[in-house]
Amino acid sequence: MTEAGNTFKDVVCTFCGCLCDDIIIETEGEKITKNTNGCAISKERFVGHMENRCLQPTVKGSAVTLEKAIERAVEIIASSKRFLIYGLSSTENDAQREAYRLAELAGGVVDNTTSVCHGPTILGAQESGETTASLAETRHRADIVIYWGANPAAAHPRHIPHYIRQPGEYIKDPKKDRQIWLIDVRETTTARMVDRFIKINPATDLEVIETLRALIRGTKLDVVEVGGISIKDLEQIATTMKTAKYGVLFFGLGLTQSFGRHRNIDAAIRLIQDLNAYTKWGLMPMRGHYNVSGANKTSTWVTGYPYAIDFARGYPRFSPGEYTAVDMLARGEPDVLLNIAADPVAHFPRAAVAYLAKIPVINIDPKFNMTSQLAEVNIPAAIAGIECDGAATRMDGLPLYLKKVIEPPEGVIPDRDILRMIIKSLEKVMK
Amino acid sequence: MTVLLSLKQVPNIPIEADSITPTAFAGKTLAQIGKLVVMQGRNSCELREFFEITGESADSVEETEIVIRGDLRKVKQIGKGMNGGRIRIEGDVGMHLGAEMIAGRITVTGSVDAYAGAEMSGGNIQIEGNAGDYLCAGYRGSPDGMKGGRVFIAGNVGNEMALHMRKGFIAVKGNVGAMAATRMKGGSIIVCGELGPRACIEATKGMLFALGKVSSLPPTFKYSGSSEREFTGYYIRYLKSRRPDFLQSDISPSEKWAKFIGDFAEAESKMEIYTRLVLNSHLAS
Repeated sequence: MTEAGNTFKDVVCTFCGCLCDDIIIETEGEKITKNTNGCAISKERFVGHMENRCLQPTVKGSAVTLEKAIERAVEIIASSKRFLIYGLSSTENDAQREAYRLAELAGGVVDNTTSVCHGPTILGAQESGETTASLAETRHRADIVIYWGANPAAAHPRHIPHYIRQPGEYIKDPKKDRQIWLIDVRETTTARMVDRFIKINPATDLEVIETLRALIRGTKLDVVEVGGISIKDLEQIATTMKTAKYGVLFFGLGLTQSFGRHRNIDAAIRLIQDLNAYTKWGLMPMRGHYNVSGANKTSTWVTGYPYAIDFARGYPRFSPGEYTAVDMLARGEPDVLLNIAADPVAHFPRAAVAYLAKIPVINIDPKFNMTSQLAEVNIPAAIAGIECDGAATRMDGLPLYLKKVIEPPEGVIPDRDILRMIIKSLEKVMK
Repeated sequence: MTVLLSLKQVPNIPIEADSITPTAFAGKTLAQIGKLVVMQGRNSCELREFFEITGESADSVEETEIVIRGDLRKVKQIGKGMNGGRIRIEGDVGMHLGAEMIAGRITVTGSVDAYAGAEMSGGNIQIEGNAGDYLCAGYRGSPDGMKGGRVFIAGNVGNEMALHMRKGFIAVKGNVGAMAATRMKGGSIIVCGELGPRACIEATKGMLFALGKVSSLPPTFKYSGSSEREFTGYYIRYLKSRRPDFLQSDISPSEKWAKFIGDFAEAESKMEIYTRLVLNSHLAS
């Protein structure tokens, strides 16, 4: 860690699950002037960190002090019967830990954005376990990398150039020694960056995976074509997968949120498990928000469950589909929402948002978003990894330390401190 | 002897009423029953706050019948872990009805939400309306779903019915959604209506009789010939003896059945799907 003047080296980028840790940030006074090594999104995140900022706490649209906003938030939480906390994926581990404490104290439900992205990944893992790899291991060893239903060129711009098309210990020439494949329903930008693109019909992922599993077992099937791929081609794909020295399967929302969801992931995990009878394979979800993987980890450490946790009975209970934010809102269950580091109004289905408009919302976010338009209480927060430090977890589960490179705007404090203030006041009220 | 519970008004926040079981009611006076705990959000409440309680309670579980009236869609976990006695529900009811049930009988005149009969190991559930997703399924991370008992649904059923089913019997008069009997490893299912896509994926053992149309089966199932199959009559006769209304028309003993086995993605592939050839000739080739 070298810091020369106003230059910060090896800064971790807090945008996507790649958590690239080679970013160089230059600052001048209160401004970030330059981001070297970052992708276009990373540049925008750092250099444009002051854009569209919420700087003033508000209650019902009128500006108040932070203490007043906390007081109102505590009043709302204390009078609720079914309190819901949602978000947490774009903040750091300590803030997440405080959120679980708050949920336990208030007997509420805490859910993170996993429930609308890689929730099925976790459900799949709960069914079948995990066969995972690290990104470094992938770079050093993998002679075949498959992306399934993912478009890293758009969502994780440095995933291929930074981790995959790089030489490693055993892969000297990443162009020659490593094959990169893409399996998707359409030819995305990523298709141009890979060695082989395999197009499958929409909503046939599960069938294709199960067929591959059967073929890897050496079973002859009745069918001649699955998901638009001939059985001959599938046999060839199965053979290549079986004969690889080290393979890694990266999958995105194309697999987790298409027809079959957790069944797709369950099947993919078991495909990788089957392959491990012959060679070494791992699989990894392409996590989107930079610390959504961390939200699952911290939640599992603290409560035993990765998301959708209800503390109503004083102990944690887990039931996705019942305690997940979308389902709770669509069913009209919660009477208060505390949203932190997410934007449910922008992303949730209409029925859930329609209900959200009927209940008091407390919104903690550094920027103005669609949820702040609807929220009764808005509390601005410092951006983790830019204006305050913390820890976040990369998509492969590696925790990384986030640096503070610039002071937050005046009066703006980190998420964890806001939550601690709420907990402290609530403890007095709930006694 | 019957205890009648009438819902006073639909609660704004759902309640968890796992205390509504004949075991909890038996040997108690109506006043004591009224003090049983139900959860609303984080608040622990009494049953009488939500229900008008009348009738007569019994000393033993076997003699106890509970009749519940009202729009119970926001009442969850009725009859959870039930072990004997009867519950009759007049109306629609919320999630987890009869989950982890051991013995007894539940009848519902309306529809039920998700996870009805989840992980049940015995008893009998009869639903005259529709059932939601995960009927008789296993909970997350659980290796076993339904482990015993009999379930009859007169309406349609949602997705992932009988997930991880190990033992027991399910009959559905209407249609069944996607991915029914996923990872099934025992037991038997009769579907009289249309069977949804991806049925029996990753199933290793068990039997499914599809009396209606089956538009597709997973590619990892293999066709195993069509013929008259004497033993299918045993299951049809059993269904007819219990719920004659489930069968729209008679199925003749000379009916031809197309048999499929799988799932060949698994190490063990002993799941059997029987479909009527006359309706599903497109599958047999």
